[in-house]
Amino acid sequence: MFASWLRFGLTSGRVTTSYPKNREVLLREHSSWHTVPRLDATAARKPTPTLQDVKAWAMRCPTSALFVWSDESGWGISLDEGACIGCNRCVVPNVQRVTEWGADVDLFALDRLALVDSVRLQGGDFRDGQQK
Amino acid sequence: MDNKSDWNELDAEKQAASRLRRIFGKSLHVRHIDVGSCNACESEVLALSNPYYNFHRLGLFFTASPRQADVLLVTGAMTPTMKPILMETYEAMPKPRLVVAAGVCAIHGGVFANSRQFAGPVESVIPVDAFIPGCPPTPYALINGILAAVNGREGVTRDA
Amino acid sequence: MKVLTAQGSNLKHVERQHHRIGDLVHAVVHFASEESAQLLYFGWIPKTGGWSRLLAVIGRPKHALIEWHHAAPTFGQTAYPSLSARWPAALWLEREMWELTKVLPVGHPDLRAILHPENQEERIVVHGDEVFQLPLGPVRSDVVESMFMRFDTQGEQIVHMQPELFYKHRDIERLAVGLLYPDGRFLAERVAGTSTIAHATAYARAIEHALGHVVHPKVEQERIVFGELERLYNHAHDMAQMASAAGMTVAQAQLSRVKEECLRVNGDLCGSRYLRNAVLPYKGSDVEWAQVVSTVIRRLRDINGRFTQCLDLLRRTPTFVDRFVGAGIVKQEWARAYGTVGPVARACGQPVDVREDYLRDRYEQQAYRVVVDEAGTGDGWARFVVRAGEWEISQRVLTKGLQLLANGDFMEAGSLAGTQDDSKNDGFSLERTGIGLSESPRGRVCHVVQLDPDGRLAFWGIRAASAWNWPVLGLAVANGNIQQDFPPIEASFGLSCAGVDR
Ligand code: SF4
Ligand code: SF4
Repeated sequence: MFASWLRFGLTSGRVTTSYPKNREVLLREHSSWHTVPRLDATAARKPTPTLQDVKAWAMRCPTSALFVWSDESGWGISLDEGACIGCNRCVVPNVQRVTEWGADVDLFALDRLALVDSVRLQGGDFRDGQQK
Repeated sequence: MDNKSDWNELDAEKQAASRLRRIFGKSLHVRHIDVGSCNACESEVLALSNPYYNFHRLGLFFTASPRQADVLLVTGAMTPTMKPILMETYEAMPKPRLVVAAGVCAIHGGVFANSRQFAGPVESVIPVDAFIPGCPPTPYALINGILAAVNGREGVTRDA
Repeated sequence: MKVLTAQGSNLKHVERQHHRIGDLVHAVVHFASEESAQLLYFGWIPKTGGWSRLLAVIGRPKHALIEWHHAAPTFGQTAYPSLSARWPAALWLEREMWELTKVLPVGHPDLRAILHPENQEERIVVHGDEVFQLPLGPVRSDVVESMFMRFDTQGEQIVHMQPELFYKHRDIERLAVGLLYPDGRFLAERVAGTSTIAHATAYARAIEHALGHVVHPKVEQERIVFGELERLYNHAHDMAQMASAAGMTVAQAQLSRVKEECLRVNGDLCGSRYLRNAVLPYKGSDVEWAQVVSTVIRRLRDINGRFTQCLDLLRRTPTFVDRFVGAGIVKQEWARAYGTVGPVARACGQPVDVREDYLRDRYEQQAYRVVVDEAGTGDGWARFVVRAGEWEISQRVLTKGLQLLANGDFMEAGSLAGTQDDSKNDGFSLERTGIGLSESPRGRVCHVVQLDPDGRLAFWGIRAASAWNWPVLGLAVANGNIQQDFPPIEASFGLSCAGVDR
């Protein structure tokens, strides 16, 4: 019995992923897994969606992970990856969409605020990570 | 935004491992605590020990008692019932100790954020060293997050 | 009494209004002795434009009936005769109802607070010499859910065991009130993460039932396929836990490898390893079946090979078998009285299975049959055998079902939108109320929903599979087992806390 287990255990091949090492290869393999989307300024192609459109679209997020902000020079949108449950509502194709599924399945952050990403959609630079 | 350290570099991994060894003495012991999750997060945490992820190869182990643990891995939306238990577990851990909040529930509350039975994110009770988003986070993210929590504590010393 | 034909099946829903709660309890108790009658739901439910009422839903698969018994309390009523005094299946339910509404179930043996275990006073059950109390939890060893168990032991012998749950009570049912029903599915998927599909399916079916909608057969077919995919990884997980409880390291590694491979199939199929976002009310998933089916079937066949090989070895390993044979016996009368479900009930020889009982017309084209342990020993080994049998059936159903999805001609039933069936709303005095049933890997999941006219949830009741099995675990552990038997018994039950705690 012991011998059969030994044979079974040893002959079933090595499957361990060398994860932190060959990260790129592995992530490519799992490109169809979705955890959280990322904001994608280029997805907001021309014509740039209107503030109303984007607001209505962001309202669909069940955990309010998406929020629209505005300041004196324009407006933009933020995505709190710490609140996103990956429900795919904001990723279904439509005109207002500014999110894409993120390819990284190994996201983390050492700081809570680092999970909040912002994109400026109007006014100022097209993309400004600092604006909240 | 996200601190995705480039683990491609073998050097970095070796460094992390050696730092880990210096501080925590050879290996890192993880105590998992569920403070109100839906069980998917547990399932992913458990996956870390399967042959695919095999996190033992990095010197990480699950431990039964918080008194032997270096890392507290918290999953789930904290309920008022679990809040004192979480704090007690944290207090029972020896220093230095790291806390990793895994899953949207632990970071923010996710779909349970408006529940009357949600006592706030883990961060509101104990200091958190790494946040792993996702509902549930993949095992890759968990490994990455735990290693980064060790890495991220530059100034960590034996009595931090 | 009104009879309504349920959507798309030969199942009939019958409504019976009682004048007093006492009459209702009396009528329901009658079913406790009826072979194969099942208590699907028991609890308070609000009524549109009326007082809240006590609702008991009884399933009678032999007669293809689902009976809705309900009764309103009389003015100022604060007590009613307890159902659990006669039908123990309602024990935990009535504790919960008492805590929430403070309407006293007279005759209930144990009315300690259940939803807030921190306020619960200790109840010493066992007295005597050499009795030792061993509390375990809520933070237990290994990666497990938080719950608490109190063992009374005499020497090695376990005399009594009390599981205490609800450490993770998230109040999902009340949190959902006021949500639009498409948003409710996010909560439904997260009632119990490893039964995502089962809960999402039950929720979707309940919503559709409430609104009198029949979905397209293709959508139902997808639900069946996803449900079986979920069963595969859960059974692999339970088997792995059993192997680890018996100290079989190689088997545990191999089985958890099988589980991981199943999860990867799921992840590659629809993006989420736990099949989130796949089942929605009224809608199908957006998986392109024709393109993926052959790959999925091939991968499943590989996985199946390894799994069967491992189980064959386990069956021939005495150190493994001996830990389970005769351990944690669930007697047939307990299984009946407590309304156990899933593999635990089927290991006692009771063919309790939603797929067989209520959805036979949907499953019959899939080569499905219910797996029951004929001997009905109800021990850990029988549960192992039942799970092994179910794995095989699931593989068969999946192969069949996936092929149907890829090249089946579903167009005979009209457009993908499904059809409206208005007959239901006229008859029922409980308006826009529906029930959804599905078979999770752990057993029957039942959701009862009530919608208000704008499509918002007015009421949501969830009865997860483990809720019926937890009380029996205490009995199974206590009778003639020693401390060392506990891990294998617990693993063979394969219970989840999240679904019970909600
Ligand atoms: S995936 Fe869902 S939860 Fe995440 S940002 Fe989009 S809408 Fe919000
Ligand atoms: S983060 Fe998601 S998967 Fe994890 S416990 Fe919360 S709801 Fe469940």
